[in-house]
Amino acid sequence: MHDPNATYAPPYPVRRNGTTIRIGVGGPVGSGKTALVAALCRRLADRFPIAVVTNDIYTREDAEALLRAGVLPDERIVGVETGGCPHTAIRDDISMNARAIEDLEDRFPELRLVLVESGGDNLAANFSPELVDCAIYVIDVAGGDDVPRKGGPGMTRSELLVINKVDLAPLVGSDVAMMVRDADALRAGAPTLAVSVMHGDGFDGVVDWVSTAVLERRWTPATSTARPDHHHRHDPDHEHRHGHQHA
Amino acid sequence: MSTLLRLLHLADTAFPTGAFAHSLGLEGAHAAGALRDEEDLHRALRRQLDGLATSDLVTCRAAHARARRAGDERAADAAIADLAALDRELDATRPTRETREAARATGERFLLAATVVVDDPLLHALRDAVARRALPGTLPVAWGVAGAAIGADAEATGQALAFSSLAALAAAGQRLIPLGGVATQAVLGRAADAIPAALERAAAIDPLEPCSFVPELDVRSAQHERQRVRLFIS
Repeated sequence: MHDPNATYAPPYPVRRNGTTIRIGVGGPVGSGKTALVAALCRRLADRFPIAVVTNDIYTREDAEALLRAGVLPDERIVGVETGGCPHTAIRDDISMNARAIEDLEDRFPELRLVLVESGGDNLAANFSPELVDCAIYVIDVAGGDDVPRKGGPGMTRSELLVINKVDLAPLVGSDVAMMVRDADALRAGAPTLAVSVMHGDGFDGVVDWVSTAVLERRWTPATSTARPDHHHRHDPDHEHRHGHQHA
Repeated sequence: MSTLLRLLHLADTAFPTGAFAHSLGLEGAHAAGALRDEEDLHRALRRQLDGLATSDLVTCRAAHARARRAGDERAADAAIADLAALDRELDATRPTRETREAARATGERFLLAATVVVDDPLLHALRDAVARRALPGTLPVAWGVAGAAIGADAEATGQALAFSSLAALAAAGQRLIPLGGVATQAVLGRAADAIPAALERAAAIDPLEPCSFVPELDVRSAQHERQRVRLFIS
């Protein structure tokens, strides 16, 4: 597990107040990031003070959806525009997001959790360690059950992978068990949870993971450097035949 | 590293200042149908440069001179007080909330990154003063002090600030119109031809009297505040 005394110390004075955990929420468009953030706030806002930074691509849709959901006081939800470059804003140049978080932390010193919701992006988008302490990556069964196999930093470098909308799996012909298996093969021990955010199936696991991260500062670090093997379909029947060819 | 390399480093578009998320009125111009092609972008860049010539470039030059004079002064307080006066004057030249916030935000982030790659007591003191919110921390003041710290002269420092400002704006225009990468660089190159003349104008202006009059972009920036569909912060 993550050593609480070994939090990432960037080589420059990132302004941290010492009490807030910053968790990134990333994933493709429509996978359920905003719904997950809203559900987390609904479940956890009574346990510790939370604020949210959203990175909408083009409008304030996500920030407004959270406002409408009424899960947090309005002033604790901030939308940051990213110049059409959502991955840049969470990975390469985090300036505007960092400033938004610092401003929230200044205004609400009692905060324990800041959720940073990325704009929907491609599978290569992951969070800068200078922006967040750990990250949740959200995909869904309707986006295709081959997504975990495709890998990418979102899949390999997120501390928690959420496979959302499992209730739709039978309708879209997705094999959830295979998705979890493929994810596990790439994620070097970092957890994967198959859930339905909308209907609550499995969502307790996400709530527990976030509470542990905030209250105990514990999570399994995402250390995987795995790259997907496109010839290898993670089909157990074929494993013994193809495994050795790709050493 | 040589001074040239250090200048290239600080002026690189990958240097994390958040400039990529600002259009400084261009997005408002685009929404109004006033930014449609290369010519529109070129005109906007030239207008912006005209504004910089009487504001940012004046302040950058003065901050550079003040930092030079500070030398190895142990007590940076006097220099910081002078820089704060320049900083507040420049801050006041921004007519809209979004352009004011852009200058402050990019200045603060420039300082955070610059103090990691440039070891200079005044630059560090400036970063700390901005972190305490003792002064607005606009980008031109930060650039002036950083330029002096790496041994660049006032001219080169001003050129680097002007060019990186135009380059960020050109990139915003590229995404908005949209333009090809090569066409965008052609526009940037043409606009940048006017940088030396802009610096010449800046040198003749009292640094405690900076001003900026770019109504074409300022009005769009004000409109942008209430624009619903937007990619950019400003």
